[in-house]
Amino acid sequence: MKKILFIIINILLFITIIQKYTHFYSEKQLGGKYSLSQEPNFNLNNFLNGDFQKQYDEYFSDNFGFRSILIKLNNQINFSLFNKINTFGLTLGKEGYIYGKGYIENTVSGKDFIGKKAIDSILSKVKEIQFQLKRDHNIDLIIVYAPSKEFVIPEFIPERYIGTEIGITNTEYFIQKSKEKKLNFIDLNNHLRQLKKTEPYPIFYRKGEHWSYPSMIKSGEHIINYIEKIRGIDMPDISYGNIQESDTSRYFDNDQGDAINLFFESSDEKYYYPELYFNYNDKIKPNVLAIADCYYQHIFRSPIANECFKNGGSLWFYNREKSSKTPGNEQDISTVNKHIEILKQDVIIHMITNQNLENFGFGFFNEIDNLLDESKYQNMMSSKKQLDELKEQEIKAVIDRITANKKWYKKVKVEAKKRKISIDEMLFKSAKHLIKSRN
Amino acid sequence: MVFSSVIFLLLFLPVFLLVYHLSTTKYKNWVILFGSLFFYAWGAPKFIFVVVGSVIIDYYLINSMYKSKIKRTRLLLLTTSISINLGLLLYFKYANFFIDNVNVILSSFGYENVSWSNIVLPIGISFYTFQTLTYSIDVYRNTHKPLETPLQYLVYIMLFPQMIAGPIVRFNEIADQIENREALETIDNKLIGFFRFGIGLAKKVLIANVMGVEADRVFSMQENELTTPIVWMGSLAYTFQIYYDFSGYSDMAIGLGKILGFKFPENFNNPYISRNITEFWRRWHITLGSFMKDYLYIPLGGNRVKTKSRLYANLWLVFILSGLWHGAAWNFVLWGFFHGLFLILDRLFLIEILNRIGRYPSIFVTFIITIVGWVLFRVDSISQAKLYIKKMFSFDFGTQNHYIDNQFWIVFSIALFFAFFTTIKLGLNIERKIFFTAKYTLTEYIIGTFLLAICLILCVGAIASSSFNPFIYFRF
Repeated sequence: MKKILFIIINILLFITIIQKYTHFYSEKQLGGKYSLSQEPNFNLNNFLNGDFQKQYDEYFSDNFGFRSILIKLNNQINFSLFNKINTFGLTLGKEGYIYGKGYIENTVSGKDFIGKKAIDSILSKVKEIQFQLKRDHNIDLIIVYAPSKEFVIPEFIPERYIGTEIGITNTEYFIQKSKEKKLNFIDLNNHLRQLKKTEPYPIFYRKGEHWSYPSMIKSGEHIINYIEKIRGIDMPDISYGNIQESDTSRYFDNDQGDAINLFFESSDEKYYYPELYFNYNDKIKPNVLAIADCYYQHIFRSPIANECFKNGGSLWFYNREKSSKTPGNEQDISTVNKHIEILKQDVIIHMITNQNLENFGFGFFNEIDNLLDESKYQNMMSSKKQLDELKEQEIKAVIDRITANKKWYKKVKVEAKKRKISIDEMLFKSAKHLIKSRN
Repeated sequence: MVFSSVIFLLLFLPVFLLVYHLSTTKYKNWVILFGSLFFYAWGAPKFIFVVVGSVIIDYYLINSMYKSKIKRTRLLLLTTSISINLGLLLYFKYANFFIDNVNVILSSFGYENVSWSNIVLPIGISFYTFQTLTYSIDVYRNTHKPLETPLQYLVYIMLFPQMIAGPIVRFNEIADQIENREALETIDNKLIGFFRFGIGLAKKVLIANVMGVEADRVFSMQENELTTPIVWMGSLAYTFQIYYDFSGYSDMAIGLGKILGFKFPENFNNPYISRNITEFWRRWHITLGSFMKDYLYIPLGGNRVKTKSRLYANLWLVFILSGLWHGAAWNFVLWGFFHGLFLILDRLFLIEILNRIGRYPSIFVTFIITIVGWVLFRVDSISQAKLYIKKMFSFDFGTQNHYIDNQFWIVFSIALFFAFFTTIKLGLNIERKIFFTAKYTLTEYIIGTFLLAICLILCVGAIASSSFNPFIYFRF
């Protein structure tokens, strides 16, 4: 009998290898967006310098049998026993609501406030650009302050964050100044707070990082109404049919839930998906370009943009990528002739979430002068190429400095471990941060 | 490769054990050797040649020494062996430290620094160097004859369960087992070995790693974020982290050794229930303390020196060197100095005072002293040590909002409980039953196997989760 127990223990140790190579049990993949390391190729050189071992460690850790089950079990134990979420950057609030930890600690608290002077300066420039675009090109520039869960439904934020506000937030001051300067702007935080009082569906789901699908549609409709008002046009009408109630989420409605990877998937949340109908008779579809982050991407890929904007509109995601209607077909922004594209537009939307306000514009408003004039645009493009090459060399030099400094390298390793990213990634981030702060 | 990694637990270990148990007795040492070479080469592929080369040279040196009848030759060969082994340790571990300090002195006098490429430290060098020393010295002292073949010596040094992080297994403790351990390769030992391994793994993954998160957080905070409670919390977290990490690793080594038929010495004996620092060093890293006593302190004269001042100086020296052995940095030297100081104070008057105040108060006082010592051990610099220790006793209760989650508190409570459990008789009895029973009943083996399975599942889940960090869809 003891020998049988010994054999059982050894089988237990072997079982993950057996699963890895036979897949005798059908495992469900883990949720969230991640990449799995590939099996490295062996050669003596790679082995002697330790690269093969490091890569194989990562490959095996990412691909051993029953990995997803074991991770989900661990996450479930932490969630059920300790009220803790293992996913980096998320925190569990009251009544099962999940929030972005960084967003609460930095954005809601005002810790990342960039200063009144900076915001005044940014918005003064935006005002000039708004005026210039309208006067010279009949293009309406609209700033849209995207909502976030932490601002719209703060009532479920964990108790320990109450009273940690240190001052005014970027959102509050940007909106205040936008009003004062009479910019074209929409405050979706406020819009959703109003909707919260009247709409029957959740504005944000418990385990959704982003707004709910119906909130997104309503916000898109609000933007359309605003465009109609400032341009004096009549865009396609939106009407609502049945609202499908579902136990399973679609799109981004459970993105946090997917990423937290629990063993038991709770089904207490109901999801709502309204049917939409559009009336195009004698309606105008303007050319709309957005320079925006993730929230606008939802609108861009929804019927709102597809049916109400000419050719579905365009999106320059973070001003670094030309977004596509379906994921996976994005193009680098360098493939776009920005000068030509801008002049085609009727409306330019800059939609930005609260936590990105410190990077307001994503560089767009700094380069707009060069974008509107062809010769300036060409000069800018050739200088940019040279600058990119220099930046790459600078980053490498800083990384070399960090690795040569024992104490600094140790700190980087600790931070990498904390953020659960590779040391190489952390070195890159540290180098970029240092260069940025130096400049 | 570390024991608490997925690749060790789920690939190396099962494959190694399968090959080992399918091998006949004649080939088992070869299997251990190749397994150990692979294990070491996985973490330090280039150094394997240095280690194997020095071990083989050492084997023949000591063999020649043993065969020689001339005292002078024997001493010369012993000195050569010790010099090679210590020389390698000094070079790889302390050269960088030496050059850094020389450069500090040169800079202070306005001279140009010595340029030097940092040397990489081979893993486990501190441990296996001491083992080579015990081999040379034990053979020299005729405590045990040398091993018959270089294979056996390589097995002794490279034996992967204890090569990287101990326990420091003395040659005379294990020599016979290398040659023949059939009597110890019983099914009971194998099962008990697995259970011990599981306990060690749980200590490391489920307790030490959780404590480590908080310790790392506090010890990387800026000065203006620190308050007295925060520093104490971080120090306590580190106190438990280092204990459960190191003792857990020793448990895993002892357990693995048992599975292979080796009996390794115990390395920890509930050190935090010590009533004074002298007792602490009989309970903490026992094999190191024992090595230092037999191979350094006693040769320096031990307790038989002529004067008290000489005795205290020797004690202090031994502990400063122990500190330095732990790491090539001044804070480790300071830690050794700190413990040496308390050992002297114990002999002067402190033990007497601690005995008078009663058992539990003396345990408490000793625990506080130990925690302060761990702060010295953990910090990156002397200036950081000053800052943290000052904060510990400054009664600065500040207004920092320092949130610690439920998981930490629950695991901390468990850590605290088990660290002091054996202060009561029930705890001692349970410990004896779990750790020091030669044989269990069948029911106990079945329960143990079940618990081991649970432990493996929980630990592998925790290890796998620690490296899994998905983005939220669209959140980038």
